[in-house]
Amino acid sequence: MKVKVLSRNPDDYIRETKHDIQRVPRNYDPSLHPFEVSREYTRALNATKLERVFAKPFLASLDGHRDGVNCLAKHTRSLSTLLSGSCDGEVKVWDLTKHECVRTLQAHGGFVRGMVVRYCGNSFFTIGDDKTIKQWKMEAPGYGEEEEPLNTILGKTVFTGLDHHQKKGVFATCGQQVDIWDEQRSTPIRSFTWGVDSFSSVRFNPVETELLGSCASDRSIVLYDMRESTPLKKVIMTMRTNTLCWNPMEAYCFTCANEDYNLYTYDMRHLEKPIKVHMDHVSAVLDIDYSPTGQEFVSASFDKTIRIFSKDDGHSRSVMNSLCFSFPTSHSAKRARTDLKVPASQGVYCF
Amino acid sequence: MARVSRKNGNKKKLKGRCNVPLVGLGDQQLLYEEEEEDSIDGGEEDINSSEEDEVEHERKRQKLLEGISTLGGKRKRAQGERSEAAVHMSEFSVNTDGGPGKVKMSDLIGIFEKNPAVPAKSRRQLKNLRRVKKSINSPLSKEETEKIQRDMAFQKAASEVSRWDSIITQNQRAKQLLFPLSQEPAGPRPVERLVTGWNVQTPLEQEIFALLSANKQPFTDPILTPAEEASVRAMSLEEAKIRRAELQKARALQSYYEAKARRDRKIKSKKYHKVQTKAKRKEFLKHFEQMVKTDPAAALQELHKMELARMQERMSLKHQNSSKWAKSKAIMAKYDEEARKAMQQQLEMNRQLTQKLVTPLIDGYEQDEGDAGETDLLPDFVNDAVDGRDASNPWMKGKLTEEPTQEQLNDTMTEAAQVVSTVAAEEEELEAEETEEEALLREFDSNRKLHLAQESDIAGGVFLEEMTDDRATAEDSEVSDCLSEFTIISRGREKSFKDTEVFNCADFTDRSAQLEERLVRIRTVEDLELLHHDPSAEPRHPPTAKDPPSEEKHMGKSKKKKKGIELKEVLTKGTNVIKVPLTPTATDSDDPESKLDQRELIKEAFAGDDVISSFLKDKRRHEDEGKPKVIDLTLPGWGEWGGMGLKPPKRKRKRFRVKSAPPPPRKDQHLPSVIISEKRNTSLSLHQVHSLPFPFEDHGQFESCIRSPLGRTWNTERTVKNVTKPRVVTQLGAIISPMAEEELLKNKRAVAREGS
Repeated sequence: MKVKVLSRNPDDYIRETKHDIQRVPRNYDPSLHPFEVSREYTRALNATKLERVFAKPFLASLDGHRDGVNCLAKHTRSLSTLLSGSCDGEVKVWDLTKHECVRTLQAHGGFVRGMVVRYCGNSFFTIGDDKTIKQWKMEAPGYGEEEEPLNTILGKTVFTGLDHHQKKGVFATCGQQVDIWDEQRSTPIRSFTWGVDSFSSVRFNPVETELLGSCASDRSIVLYDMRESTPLKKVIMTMRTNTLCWNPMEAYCFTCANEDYNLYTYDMRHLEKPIKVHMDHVSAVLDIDYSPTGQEFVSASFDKTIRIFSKDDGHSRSVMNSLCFSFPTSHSAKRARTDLKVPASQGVYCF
Repeated sequence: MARVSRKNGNKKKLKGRCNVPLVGLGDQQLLYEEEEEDSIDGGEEDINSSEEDEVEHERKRQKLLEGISTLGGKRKRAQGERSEAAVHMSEFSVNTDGGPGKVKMSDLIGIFEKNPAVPAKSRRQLKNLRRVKKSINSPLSKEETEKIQRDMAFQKAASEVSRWDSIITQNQRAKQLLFPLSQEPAGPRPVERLVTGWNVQTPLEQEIFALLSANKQPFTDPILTPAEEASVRAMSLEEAKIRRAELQKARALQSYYEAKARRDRKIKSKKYHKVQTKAKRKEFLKHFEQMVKTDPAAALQELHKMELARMQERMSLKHQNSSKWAKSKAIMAKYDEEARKAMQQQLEMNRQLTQKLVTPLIDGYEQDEGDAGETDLLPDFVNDAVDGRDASNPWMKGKLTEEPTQEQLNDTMTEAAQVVSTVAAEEEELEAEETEEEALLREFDSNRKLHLAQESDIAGGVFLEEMTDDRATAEDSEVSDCLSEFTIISRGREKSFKDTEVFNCADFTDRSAQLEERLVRIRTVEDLELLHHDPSAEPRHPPTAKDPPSEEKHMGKSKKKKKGIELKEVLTKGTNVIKVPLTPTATDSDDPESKLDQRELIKEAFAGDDVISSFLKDKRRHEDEGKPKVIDLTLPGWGEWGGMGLKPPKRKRKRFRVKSAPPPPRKDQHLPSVIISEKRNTSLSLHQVHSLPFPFEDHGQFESCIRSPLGRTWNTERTVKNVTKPRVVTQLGAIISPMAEEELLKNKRAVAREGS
């Protein structure tokens, strides 16, 4: 005699681990679940609203500077380390996880104009109003040792910007002209001039490491190749560009922060027309930095806001507003989340 | 004298200063000067004491002059004087006015022309050089050179940067990006790499590590040996995966092939195997022919192999008809066609194998001997099949191939009466066009005819009927299932045969013609049926039936290969040609009235519905919709006694009726044939999509994509996860370094792989 028994495959109703969600048999027949569009719309709207409501972009305020913070630098090898330079020539090294200052050093006589960490992460460079370039060790000096730079270079003019090469012991400064320095020498190995102007910032291309871009006070952006004796190309805009930043994932794209409230993304090969114009700021844009994924960038403006833009979008994704920013500059950390440090009058804010 | 000399000296200086080349004069001048100097010296000796002071003065003056001359501008280099011939001369003291003149190009080149050691080619080049009189352009200004340099440098940099193009577009289109780009391999990392300042300290440790390093062994467990590491590095994960997939595929194919071979081997059908081997042989032969052309050496080897196989086959005695199989086949051959075929093949093979290879030495008598042997080897039935005397049993007349039948026929012809000759001749002709399926049928036929001929010789027409009857009975008893069809055919034929025989049995030629005709006609199944069911139908078409034989005689050879149904034979009735009138029933072109007005035409087309009035109605409706409506705000029962069916007074109604302001005039109020809809809400359009997003190509795609829901309520979990995959995935706590050159290489490799 044959007995027929109802049998079910336990795989259909038993979960593999207790962490799995319960398997709920469902009928996906569309006729049973009407009004997809309107229901989904409501859900999406609620989700966005709630995300806004529960968003906590402000992480911490790093207090300790006695004067305005003028520049920031990310550590190249450590995610939790941040450096900030203030207007009284003081540099502070912060531990971001603990929100505390690890080290303080009096780097320069006047403003700390620029700061950059060497690619190896063992030392960093600062430039100041006292016409000097100083190289410092990343480690704090031992007990009883005096805090002094590894190397000091005396320049002829004031330096306004500084950046370090991605792989070599070479860095670039700008002031009256753009200089390329070898770490081992006290004179620049190359200096570029193109007309008489003063430069506000210089940046190395992180992908094509021999290329540089700089912003000049005659409203122009100038591109250089470290290997060539002459600059490559100049584009003159209607208003002055304050800073520029290369996209770390797209070799030929860079975005510049302009005085005309906009940011412009350019393809290096076609400088006649920008790829994208990013609008939303209501005052001059002062600084910009790309997220390490190259998908977004953050910009700080004179309108006391920081905005996050997607690289392909004309308008910002989100805004951070504060009333006390005087000269904000912004950087995004090497983390996936676009962490943002904004130096305000006397503090560094982390977003 | 001194004055003279002084003057000369001055002159010299002047000359030196103004640097005027004096060609030809220079030599004389020099000589002159030397003389002068000599004379000065002589003079001085004479008046040494008396004019000492004067000399002193002269010197001072000289000095003074020199001093003055040096004061102005730059100090001139003192021109060297050539006073003596010397071996070593400074190149700096050569002056132009001293020499024979300017050195010309021709002077320099001339030496080469005289010298025989200079090759002709360089001589020619030099000549060309002399002809070219273009002077080198002056160098460009600094700005211009810089501009050119900048342009060049920019172009170079731009082209260099462009190599990232492909990877960047790829990333833009990617559904998901994983960061950091170069993921470090997971798993434990060796202590040596984590702890940098670790040193071996104790002597035991030192000894152990020395031993380990000497044998190239890993220091800690998870570390691989250098060789292993190298092997790991040699093949990336992707490559390994590809390799594995390839191997899997190969293995699967092999197993399939094996299974197929096994299945093949298990097939018991001998015929199948025979066909297979035959096909293989054919293939091989084809291949061999090619090989002869391309690779003669290999072909020769193959030939040797074939020869060897032949020899082995020959030695095996398989084909000698002495085997059990051959014997059984020999018996069966008389009844079974396939067996007969097999037998024939066997014989053919035998003949081939036993044939002497033609060599110049052994030709003549051995051939005969071979033939004799061959005849001995042949089984009897092959020969006796032709035997006509055994005519009483039609089944005993084996017909192997067409050739023997012809021979047989020829034999019988000699024996048979002259009357049959015509039949036989026709038969022969027909035989050629026969196919194998019809062979048996033919056999019956020919046998019967033979009988007929013989019997007509012996007895006469009287016996005919009886004979056929006999045959019919014999057939009835003997038919097997497979031959039933043929019997039916033959029976049918016999019936008709009888009919014809009854009418004109004496006239053989006529009958043969009819017979022939029948043979042709019973080709298709339809004909067969026709014959079978309705034998009386045959005499209906004597006139049509009489024509074909004559035609067929002519077409005999040409028809040989036609196997299919012939239209004329199947369709006895001619087709009626239906005449379709080509001219149109009505011609409008000539009609003068055809030039109707366009409007009339439209009117005619839309005769049923009035377009214009409906449009006007439509427009009115739109206008009415746009007009503001009077809002009645009266509340029945408010401020008075109420009850059922109470109506508010007129005054109140008037008061509470609200008329809204008239809307702005419609844009189409002066355009009678236009409706401009003003319903579009501009505030809504802000929230609508203006342009097609990137990957979509037409709005239909986009709409369908937007319309389909994404949520868990409508989709399975996996679909939801797939649809809502984040575009950028990053690893927590990992430093994302900028794109490096390795990415470019990786991309290149990936592209190459896709291409291949």
